[in-house]
Amino acid sequence: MRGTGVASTVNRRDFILTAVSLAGGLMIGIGAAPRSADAAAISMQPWNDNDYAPHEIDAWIAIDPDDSILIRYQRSEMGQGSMTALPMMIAEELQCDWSKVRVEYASSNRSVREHRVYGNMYSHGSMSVRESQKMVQQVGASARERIIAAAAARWHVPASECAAAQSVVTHRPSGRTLRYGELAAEAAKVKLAKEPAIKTPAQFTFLPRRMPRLDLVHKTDGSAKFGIDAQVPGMVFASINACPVRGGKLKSVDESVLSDVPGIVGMVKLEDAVAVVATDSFWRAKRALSRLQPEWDVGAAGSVNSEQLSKEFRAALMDRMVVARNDGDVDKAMSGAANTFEAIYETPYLSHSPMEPMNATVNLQPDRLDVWVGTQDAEWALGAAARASGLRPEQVHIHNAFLGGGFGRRDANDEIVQAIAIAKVVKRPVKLIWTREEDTRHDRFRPHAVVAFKAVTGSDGMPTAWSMRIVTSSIFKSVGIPFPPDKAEPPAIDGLESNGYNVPNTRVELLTRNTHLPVWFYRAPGANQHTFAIESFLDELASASGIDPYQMRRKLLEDKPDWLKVLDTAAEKGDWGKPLPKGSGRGIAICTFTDSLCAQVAEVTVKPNGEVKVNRVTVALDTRHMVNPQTIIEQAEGSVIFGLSAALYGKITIKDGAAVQGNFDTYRMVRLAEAPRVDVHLVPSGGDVWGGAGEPAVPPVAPAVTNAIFAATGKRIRTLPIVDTDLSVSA
Amino acid sequence: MGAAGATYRQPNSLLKAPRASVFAVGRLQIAGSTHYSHKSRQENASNITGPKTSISCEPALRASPVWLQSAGRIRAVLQGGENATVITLDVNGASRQINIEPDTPLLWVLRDVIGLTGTKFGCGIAQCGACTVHVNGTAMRSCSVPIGSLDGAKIVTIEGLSPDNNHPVQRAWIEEGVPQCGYCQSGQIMAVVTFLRKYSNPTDADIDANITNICRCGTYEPLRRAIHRAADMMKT
Repeated sequence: MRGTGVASTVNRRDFILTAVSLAGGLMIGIGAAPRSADAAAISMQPWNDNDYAPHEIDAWIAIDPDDSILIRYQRSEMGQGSMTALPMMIAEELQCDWSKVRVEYASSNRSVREHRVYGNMYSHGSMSVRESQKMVQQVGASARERIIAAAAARWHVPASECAAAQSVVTHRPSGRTLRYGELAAEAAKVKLAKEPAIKTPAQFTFLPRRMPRLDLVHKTDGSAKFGIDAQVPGMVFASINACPVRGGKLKSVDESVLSDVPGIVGMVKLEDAVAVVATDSFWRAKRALSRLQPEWDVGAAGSVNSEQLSKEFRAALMDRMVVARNDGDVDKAMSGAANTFEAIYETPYLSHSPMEPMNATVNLQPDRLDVWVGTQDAEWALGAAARASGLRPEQVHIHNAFLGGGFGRRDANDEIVQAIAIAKVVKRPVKLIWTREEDTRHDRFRPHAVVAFKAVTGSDGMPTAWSMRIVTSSIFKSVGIPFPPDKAEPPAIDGLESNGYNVPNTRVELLTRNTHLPVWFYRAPGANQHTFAIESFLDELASASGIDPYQMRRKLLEDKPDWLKVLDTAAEKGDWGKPLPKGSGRGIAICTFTDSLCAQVAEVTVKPNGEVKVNRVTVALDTRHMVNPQTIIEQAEGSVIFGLSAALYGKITIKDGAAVQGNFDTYRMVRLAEAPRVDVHLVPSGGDVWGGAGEPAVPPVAPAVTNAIFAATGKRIRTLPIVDTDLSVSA
Repeated sequence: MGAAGATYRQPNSLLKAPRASVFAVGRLQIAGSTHYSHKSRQENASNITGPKTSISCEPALRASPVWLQSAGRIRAVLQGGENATVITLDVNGASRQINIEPDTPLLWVLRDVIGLTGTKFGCGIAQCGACTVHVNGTAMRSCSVPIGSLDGAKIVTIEGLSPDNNHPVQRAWIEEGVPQCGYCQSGQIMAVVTFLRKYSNPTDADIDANITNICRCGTYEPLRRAIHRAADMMKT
């Protein structure tokens, strides 16, 4: 903050605050947590209050005289571990002492002012590593070469006689050494004639390496700062209630009911929401808000419900569609075929529901805006905040925090825009927090989708032609990404269009049908629902043909060794084919997503009363390359649980235009007692591309489980969530 | 989205404790009962089966004399004067005087009034456990414990669990690498600490039945390992 931006008057409330926030205001200090000898460190307060460090080599790296190294991280840490992985990639090239590395967020404000020096700053699409890989390796390699050049100049020797390792440059012929900390100031002035080549994965000496994530310590003692933890002197608290029906407007609200409530700063009316702002606690604002009885103008959307949407989507399956993929001649192959199979699969709206509800803290001044928020895209957030405030982008400072989960939700900026609108009115620093109910109901949902399959099989029982017709809503339209209407947008077809099966006649078609509900990227967009559809339908074909589902997949993938590797690994490690007691079964599924491959085998038991227990999920994951296998395993384990919550229970129901489910009592999550054992096997296949790690293990969970349920009970689930199907013996 | 209009109120510099008029929620939770119930605030979920164990309130707390005294005190506050709403707490070893509406949940007193933000808000209805702290040695979901019921109570939050992050449960969490996003982990750790006091040699079934906090990142696998590891550490 460089001492600007916040009022420093100490009032009564500040007096009650702990010494922590009194001592430094916004500067809560850099992590002083215990560090083991080989561990780098991270700031418990990951947001950056100082865009510039004293001993910078460039915008990414600063090296102090004592050899401690600051590395800037330009993405968002929401649990996926890239705040550890990307600095590890820089360290690989920098040839530095990892134990002396400390990491903080890069400033999107600085990036705006310095020609996007940090490049893209978003974390979605499992892109943090794979899209930054070349860039951050180059950052590390350039800094290393400049440090070497500085040493060579000091010694008056050719740079080619010098080598760097563990933060020390050695002049090989003489054995002389200089530490990085001694060279940083000179290195900062070095201009390289040409950029050095980056290492190929085969040349890595530090990676891949299983390392503890840097944020571990702060996430076990309460010191890790999330957006919701921002404390700004003089700040007031806002609670908001947006129109339950998307697109509706606030008609009227009687504020007189608040006249006798102490500590209320004001009621703020927005176009589609009403907020109450209070001193001292969020609770006071929330409770006062609950007294209001706003009237809304909801229009025609106020009569929309889930049953009707389902009917409409299914009816639209007969309409004209955009062709996304067309191999061979499906119509010709299907005409006169003896064995024809058809099925319709349906998946519901889902809320992202990260553990940390949406929130933003803003301090809006005439010439400067500070926003403390956990965002998946600090650059996009900056743009949205500039537009909402009317300030220039370079006047806006986004202090990105640890994200209490993201899953695609934390880049819509709606909470930021609301907080700014409220701050404009109350003219004080404001912390806006959504209640869990607000967070669930005003999410931009995972789309509702319906897929109609038709397939024919040959005399050997193998599919020779199949067609997939999709009706779903356009994420691109909700987000505002321009896309030609005669093309099929990737998130609407991913998982179907991308299937790896060698079926000579394949056609995938799409119709986007938009409703009043905005839809959004949700961990593994498209694939998270379409993989359930195609992997279940393929299981139906296998069952009808009397072919083992694993063997049918093997045959359809026989020309793809990388697919076979993950499939075989999951089958072998998941005990495919071994006997199970009655009422239990195994299911298998595979997908590609973000250039990675993932296969899973689920083992379930269905009790006579229909209760499903998922005992075990075996995961084989090919991310092509690896930085930190530790966090890849974590992502695979977590993806299984995330996908399982959605498969077993996940559904947002629409009634009278509004989402019915509000909190975790009605929007249920898998808890420890329901969590299966998860075994993860990493099988990186190498090659030119890097695969993602955060998403590809989500899509196969649902079909692996429903296929296992079929194996256990003979009951085929074609509509999620599983809990909606009666699986009891009597059903 | 622009501000269509607004009204102001002067910020109230000195909080005055409201009388019974704003106490509806607190009354629902406390009056006539020695423990809170989150059911009154649950939404109707007839078509969805909730998890079997969702209440954090442990039996020991229900019988706690302090709690009974507090419940009685709340009734007194309802009929009494404003001074009675000053609540004295011990938070992580420091005495705190809290002067705020008595139905304010402990969670928001910790976060907003005292400034201890390690305790997290997740759901507000005692479902997720992100807000778990120790009240007189018992794990409680602080989003559903009104401050008015806590006069004289001893509160321990994640910040006060150990002086240097060396409680066996914290060490086990680090050694097993449990956290991902980390948001739920303060609550998980606090719940596990009291659980291990009761179950020094826990089975997986014990863990399943007692550790019910939600983790959206799905860290359950290492979390379970860490509980066993912490139990082992505490034995030696």
